[in-house]
Amino acid sequence: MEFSTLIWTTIGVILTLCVYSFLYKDNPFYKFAEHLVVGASAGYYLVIYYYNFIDPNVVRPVFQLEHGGQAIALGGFEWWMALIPGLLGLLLYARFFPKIAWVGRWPLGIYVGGYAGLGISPVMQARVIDQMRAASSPLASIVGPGEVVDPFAAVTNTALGFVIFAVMTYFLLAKRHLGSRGIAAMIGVIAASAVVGYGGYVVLTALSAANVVSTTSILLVVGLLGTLAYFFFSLRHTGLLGGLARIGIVFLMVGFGASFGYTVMSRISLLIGRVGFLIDWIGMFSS
Amino acid sequence: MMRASLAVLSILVLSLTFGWAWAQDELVLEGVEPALSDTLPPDLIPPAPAAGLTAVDYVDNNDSGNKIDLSWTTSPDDGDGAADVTGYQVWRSETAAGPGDTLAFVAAGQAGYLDETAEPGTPYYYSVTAFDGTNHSDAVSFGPVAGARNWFTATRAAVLVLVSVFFGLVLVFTQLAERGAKLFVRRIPGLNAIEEAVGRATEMGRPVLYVPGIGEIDNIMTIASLTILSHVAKITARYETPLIVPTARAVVMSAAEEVVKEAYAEVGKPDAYNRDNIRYLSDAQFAFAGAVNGIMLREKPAANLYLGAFWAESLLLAETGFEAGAIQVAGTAMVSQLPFFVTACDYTLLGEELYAASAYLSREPKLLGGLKGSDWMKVVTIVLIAAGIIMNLVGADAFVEWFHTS
Repeated sequence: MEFSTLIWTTIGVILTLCVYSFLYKDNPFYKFAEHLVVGASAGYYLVIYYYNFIDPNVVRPVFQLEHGGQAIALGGFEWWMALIPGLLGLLLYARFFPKIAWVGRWPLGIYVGGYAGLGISPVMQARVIDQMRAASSPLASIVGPGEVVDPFAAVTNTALGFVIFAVMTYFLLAKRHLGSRGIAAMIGVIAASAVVGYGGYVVLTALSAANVVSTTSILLVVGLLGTLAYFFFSLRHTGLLGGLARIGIVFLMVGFGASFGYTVMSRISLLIGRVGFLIDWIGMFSS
Repeated sequence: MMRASLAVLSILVLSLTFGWAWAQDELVLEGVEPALSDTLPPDLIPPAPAAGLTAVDYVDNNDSGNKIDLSWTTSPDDGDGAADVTGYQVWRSETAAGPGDTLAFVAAGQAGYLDETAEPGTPYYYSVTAFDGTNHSDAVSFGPVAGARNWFTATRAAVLVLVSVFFGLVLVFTQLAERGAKLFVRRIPGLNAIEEAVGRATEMGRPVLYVPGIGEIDNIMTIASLTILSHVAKITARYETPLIVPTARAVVMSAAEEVVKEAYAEVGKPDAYNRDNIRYLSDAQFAFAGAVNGIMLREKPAANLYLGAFWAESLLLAETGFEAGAIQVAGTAMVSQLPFFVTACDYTLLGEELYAASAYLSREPKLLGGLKGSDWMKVVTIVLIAAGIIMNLVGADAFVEWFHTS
């Protein structure tokens, strides 16, 4: 093994342990590692930004008259397109001179306005229109065309959908109006919801071309509408809007829970990688 | 021994060689026909050329100027005549002098080709030769022709219509707000929490930490965060509570400085503004997170506000703040990070609540107009989804397909 490999790996191990020492409490070792990484990254990014952005996009086109290997004519369109953003960037430093500090707002205004304008169309397409289109076809079948329906899957799909539907109807829409009228009222509302829901489901299935309509896809559309209602700020969340908003927040929280668990698992794999690094370092001495 | 081995090897090689030659003779003797090309002289006659090549900018209202439509009359030897044309070779050049580079091979019988690789605005010269498998005909040429960008992409009409509806709604509500109409926006619970948190920090005589995320200034969450920062800075200025704002982007630091300074001036406390408290730490995500953690532990802010665009550092920050015992309020539209804030913070502004909060706090007509406009856009969306479902049920798929924009 190269001596230099051992040295750098050992430094990595020491810094890793310094960072982990934070788990006990703040201490000089953690402070050292923190300051080292902040300082090193600031210097690193300064160099990266210069060579990846300023040099190829401003300095070279303006002074060496080339961009990406293509010659740029002095005073030509491309030359101005390099010079003007460069000058706007320099205006950011106007804030160091109090008398002209206000000029520093120009580049910020252009930067923010430009990006906002460019972003509107793709956001409308990807986040609104595409999702709206997908939600407009909720009557998906639980099996593909020509496939045989598994009776167990069909029963599970239907039963699960209506248990969720009925319980949701009770707790989110009916409970507050019933007050404390006892368990009989609760069972009655849940049963009525299930019957009404099932009736609607049968009608939808008859109308759609799907063999067995997926109740989860219908629930997803209900969740989407509920979430939109939750983020409606122009009315107080009372009555039907309040009920829908409560459905929305339930869906949000279920989503957050799933996302939390998923991410924690990925963080655990990062920890495993780091512990593996420490074990490999110990192994370096035995090889 | 060595000599004997060599002799055996030589015999083996000779046997195999003669055996192979004998087998070839046997094939001929058994009457297997040799290939036609082995017996006939090579084809030296090129096919008759194609004619009437034209190339025009492809117009379907959807291309970005990269398409040129070529058409020609097929060679007289294509199907008729010698009937030996196997296809056409299409060439493209940027000069009139030569055939240039091969663009495509087109099968016999076809009289056109769509070039989809043109640079918009670049004039090209096209040539087409008929090919019979051996020879090329004379070239038929056309040029120059250049593709022009279309102003309008018909397949994305839905985007234009909905953006126009949205802009219309925003403009109407902005006008109403500017004329003094009282536009109702419901109170967001997380906002009360921000004021509570700052009040608590003041009571404890400890600073407030405001992290505007690690997004660039072009990120809409960062912009919303800076609006809320202005509100928070006014409260801290009134209470004379130190406000620490660590940033991960140089431009965000500049903007944050401006915002905080203005807020302090607005409430008549310009001298309380401390420029050193608006800090640039690092562009590196985890270096930034480590440094903010250090601030939490050493300067012991009593209130931590995380409002803006956050990525994987969210849990590191919120967990350390929780350990340090600070009251924490977070807000972001980063769906993947919201679970961590919901778990580790006292209050969380979910998604659009971040933007709504900035409008609610500032009562700025443009922000209010934007908020109300997006609210009613949601109503439009719900109506369109309902209409889409009904249209799907009655088999009118064209309605939903109109929204197919990609």
